[in-house]
Amino acid sequence: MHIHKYERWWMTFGVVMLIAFLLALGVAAFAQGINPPTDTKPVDPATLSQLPPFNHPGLRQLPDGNYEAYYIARVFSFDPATLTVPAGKKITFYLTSADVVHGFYIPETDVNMMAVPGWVNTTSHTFMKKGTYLLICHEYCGIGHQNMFAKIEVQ
Amino acid sequence: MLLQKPESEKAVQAAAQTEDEPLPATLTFVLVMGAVFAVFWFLMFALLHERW
Amino acid sequence: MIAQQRQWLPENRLVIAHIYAATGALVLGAVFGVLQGYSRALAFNAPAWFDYYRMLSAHGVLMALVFTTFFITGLSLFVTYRSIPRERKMVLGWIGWWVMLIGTAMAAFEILAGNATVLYTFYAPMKASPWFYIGATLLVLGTWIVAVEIFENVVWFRKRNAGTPVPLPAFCAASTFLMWWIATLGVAVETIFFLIPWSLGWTGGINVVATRLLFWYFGHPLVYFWIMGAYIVWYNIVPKFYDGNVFSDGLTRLTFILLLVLSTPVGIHHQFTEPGIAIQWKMMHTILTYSVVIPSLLTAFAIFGSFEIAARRQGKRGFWGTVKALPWDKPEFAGPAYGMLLFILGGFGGLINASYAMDTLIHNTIWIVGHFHVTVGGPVALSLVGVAYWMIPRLTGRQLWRPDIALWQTRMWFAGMLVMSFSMHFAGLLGAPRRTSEVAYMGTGVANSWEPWMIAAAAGGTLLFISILLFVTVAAGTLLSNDRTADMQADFAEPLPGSAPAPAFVQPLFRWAAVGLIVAVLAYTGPFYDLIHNPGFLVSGMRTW
Repeated sequence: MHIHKYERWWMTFGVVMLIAFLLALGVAAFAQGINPPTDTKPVDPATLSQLPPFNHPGLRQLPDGNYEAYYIARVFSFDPATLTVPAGKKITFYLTSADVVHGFYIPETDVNMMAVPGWVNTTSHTFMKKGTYLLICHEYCGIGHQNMFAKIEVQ
Repeated sequence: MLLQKPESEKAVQAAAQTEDEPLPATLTFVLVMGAVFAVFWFLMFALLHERW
Repeated sequence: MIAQQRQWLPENRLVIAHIYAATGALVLGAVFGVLQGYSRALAFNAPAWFDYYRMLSAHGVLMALVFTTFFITGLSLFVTYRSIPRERKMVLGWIGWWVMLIGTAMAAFEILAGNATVLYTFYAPMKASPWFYIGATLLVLGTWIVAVEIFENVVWFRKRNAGTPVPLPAFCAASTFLMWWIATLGVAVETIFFLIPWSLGWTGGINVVATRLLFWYFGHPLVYFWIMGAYIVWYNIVPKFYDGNVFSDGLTRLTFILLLVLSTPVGIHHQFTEPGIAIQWKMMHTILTYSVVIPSLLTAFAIFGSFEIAARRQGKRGFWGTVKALPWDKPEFAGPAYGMLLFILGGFGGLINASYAMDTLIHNTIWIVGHFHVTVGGPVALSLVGVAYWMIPRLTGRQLWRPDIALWQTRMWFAGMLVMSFSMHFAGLLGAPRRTSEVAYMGTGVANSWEPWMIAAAAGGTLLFISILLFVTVAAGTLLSNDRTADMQADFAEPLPGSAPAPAFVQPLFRWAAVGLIVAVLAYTGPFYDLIHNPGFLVSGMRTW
């Protein structure tokens, strides 16, 4: 097929640009661990209140000094509604839903994931700045969706 | 409506010539757009690291 | 000439029927859209008997599913039967249209009655009335039936013209609907095998991850179905408005083949932030989504190249010379052209959304809403509305009523969409969520910074609403006019004289469709294999509104 010389230049530019973006994403993923949240562990939404660790949602400290935070999303609140965490420590969030699909988003951070009933989702974050952070449900979940939010106090 | 088929070698060459008439405005347009794409993308990439 | 026009009558009526249905959805959707804008700007409080989320469900279904599907189906019929003229009764076309209309009416009734406040993505386990899912399924099945008329005409042409390429407009329309068949298989399986039996109570629970994978198997190619509708207009019709040509017949066909093959295996980029899908599939779909950028890069060059060649014929040179040579005072040109400008912004945003971990910056924020308004609500809707100003006279023989209002309609749309979409993108970066009736959060922290942008978005939405009313006014004025002097002949753009013919490998459409189906199935084999081995728990579902 005859392709205009300039169009060949442009397509070369475009494909090199796309490859450069993919390489940057790949380096971030493999060298720095910057991946989207993912987990493939199932959990029965019917027995959340009986089985550890989701029977006691909240924060716990790990032997290495970092923290885990367990959250349950349900219409139309998060459990825990307020969580106090230390600044400068890595917090790994574990999230599930007791009923329908919810969102879990802390604006101005990269903590942005979905709560799907039947599955655990996970991501981690280190809060460097002290203060009150807003945690919102950002997936439509029903008539009270706009009221579904929680707070994280970083001290 | 239907494709015109070049009938001879000469016609093919003529076709190649008309198509390869330089298109400087088009090249400027796509390259500027592409460069802005790239700058913008890396700014967002920097924001990702900033917020991580 | 008159005889020819009479010959086209059955097809004309069917196309007009599609435009009527599309326009009805557009107007109703616009009312709900502007009210949502005011609600988020805290200028309007939706009453309890017709809450915000019911409006949001209606807006999404009417605009994203009904308006686009009806219009693009009508447009595809039009370009197919005008580029391969042939007398047909269109029996299947009418059956399909009625099935689409009945399905739409069922789904719309259930939404308006408050039995399906599940938004246009209908994420399980929120459980809507079965009639909503059945209606949505009929809408899709109807398009399959109408599409047979398109394929049949292409096959008919091929049988009689062995070795001659299918005319470009029909080629583009047929590849669009072949892609649509592959893509809609996902949503058909989701509704027929999962949602409908479950909502009827025949199955106790539902696998949420399976339904989400199937939805997005359809949900992203749906976007490309819209884009292909706009590309049909840009490649085949718009060049006629500035006495231009198709830049390259071969590259146009290649663009549509690439979209046919690569549009479907990309859906997981909507699911980057959710559990139940392993990380490698998210990476794979990032790369596949990047590959479908290529036909759009080809298009950017082809469109501007066609502009430049036409401008040079008028003695205009350079970037600004080319831009100034274009007929910005013709509404049928201005609509698609403003749409092309908006698509540059849509391209920027789309590359961010597809970029793996970068999705966490903007996932489910109102940035996404800004993005799809500057794609489906910009290039696609403006191209369809703009081309309607060209099609309606050619379908009815009536002259376009008040082209000056039509021109202002396209300008207002462009301005309104720029303001609304920019505000949404920016508020999204600040963290404002989408799909939420208000974003006050009791004035907690960062939420205070969102409200000014919501007000700006509502202002842009107002312009869009007025623009849609103007469109309907011009369309109605044309249909009611007695000036039956319009030329009903529809000519499509042709390749540059003497340009090289398209290579043979882009011609076999149906074979490329088979490749597309195989690629789509392969891209989803991994995640479904995982899900069969690790299915998680079935969820019973509930009504949360």
